[in-house]
Amino acid sequence: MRINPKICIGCNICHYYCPAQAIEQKGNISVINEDLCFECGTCLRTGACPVKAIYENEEIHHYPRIVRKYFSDPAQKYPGTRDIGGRGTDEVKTNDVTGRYKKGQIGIGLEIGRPTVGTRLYDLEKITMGLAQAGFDHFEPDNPVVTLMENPKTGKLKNEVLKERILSAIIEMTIPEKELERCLKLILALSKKINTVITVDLITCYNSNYDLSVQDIIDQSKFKPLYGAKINLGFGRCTNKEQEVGQ
Amino acid sequence: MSHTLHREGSLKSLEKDYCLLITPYKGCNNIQAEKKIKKFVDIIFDVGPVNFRFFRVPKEGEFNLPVNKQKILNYKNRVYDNTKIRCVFDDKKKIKELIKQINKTNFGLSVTISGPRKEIESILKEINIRPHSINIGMGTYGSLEKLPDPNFRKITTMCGHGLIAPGLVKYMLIKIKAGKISYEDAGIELAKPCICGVFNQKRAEDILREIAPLYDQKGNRINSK
Repeated sequence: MRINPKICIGCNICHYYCPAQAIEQKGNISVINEDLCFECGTCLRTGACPVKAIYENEEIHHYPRIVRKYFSDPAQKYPGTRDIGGRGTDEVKTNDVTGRYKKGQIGIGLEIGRPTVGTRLYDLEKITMGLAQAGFDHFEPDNPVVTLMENPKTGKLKNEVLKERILSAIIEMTIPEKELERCLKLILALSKKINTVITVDLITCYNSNYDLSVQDIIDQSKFKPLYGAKINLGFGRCTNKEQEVGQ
Repeated sequence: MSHTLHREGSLKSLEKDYCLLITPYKGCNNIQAEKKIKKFVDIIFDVGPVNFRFFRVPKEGEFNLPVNKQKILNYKNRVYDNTKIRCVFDDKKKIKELIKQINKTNFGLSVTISGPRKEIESILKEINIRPHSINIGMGTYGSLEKLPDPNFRKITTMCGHGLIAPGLVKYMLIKIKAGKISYEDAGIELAKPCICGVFNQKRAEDILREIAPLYDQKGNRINSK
């Protein structure tokens, strides 16, 4: 994103709207620090500028700069993954029809940079490589993070993207339930090696009596779950064939 | 993407904050989903959301607050088979009623509810619905010293994509203190960066009222000592 210096009146209102804290005052006008900018487009989309001095420059769409936009602007659809808008898959949202996480499996989502701290991709790589080295290399193929990898078996990212700064990226993977305890310990250890934050999701199927087979492991771990959860009500089923027959 | 998970704040505050997501899945249940989505819109507006947004419609990013039922109904002609619904409710009774109504339709689209786990599970038990799976917010770790002010995060984490700058909360406090904006309008302004319709501007308004005495005219935290 850029600010047209001929239009900017130096009111500084846009500074408050920027999640990247990338807008600075220089002389009598505001300028966007392009190294810090996430390219999330919030400054433009919200109409923060009273004189419409903010614009999207063409260079944003060139690789590797475009990676910033893919991982920071949820309105930007990611190419090369299945129907993904935003930073991850539908995870639990459609799990009742996709079976992405089956009984006996755990879905793990590690969102690097969330909430609103942001991350350089080299910090993301520290986590993906640490996971892969420990054998946790079943990264979700429909998640955009995998397309950044030089080798999903090692978690190594492509060199040209490492310095890009993004709002957040989600590492999604599936692990066997019996590996959960080891995985949680590893996540905490890896979180100490990065210069940003990780927000952690855990996805699992319910037992028939509303409880979770991994509840004890969660309770005994050093994690402190929030009050909130996202619950798939189990209303989904594949109806396309019913519809085709009915037509 | 878990954009409705990881909301921060007290349990009392989060008990006024439930997100409902309806998501057709391409190749599975999206054929003729358009009619079902339109019916869901009617059900949702009979109950009364505080925020609502279609995902995957032309001009989906248009800002809709405060929620205007007629305006949303006018949008219905843009809905197609892959359109998703994202909306927010501020009342446990409403979300219970909504789940009951949606269950009756038996349309076969995936439905998820985000909110306090114990509250949602208790509703489901009461109405005898057995959920399929759960995504649990396990918390945030790493360089925690980089996190914004925890009071600001109660508001900013209502946009899971992280588009609401902590600075915008500060700016709204400055404007409120100067008498340039009402708490209600500040809640709506804070919702603007969220393109998904999952931001609860009513809860933001409540939080602003609660935290305003803790900040000075410049939006800085008053030393509690």
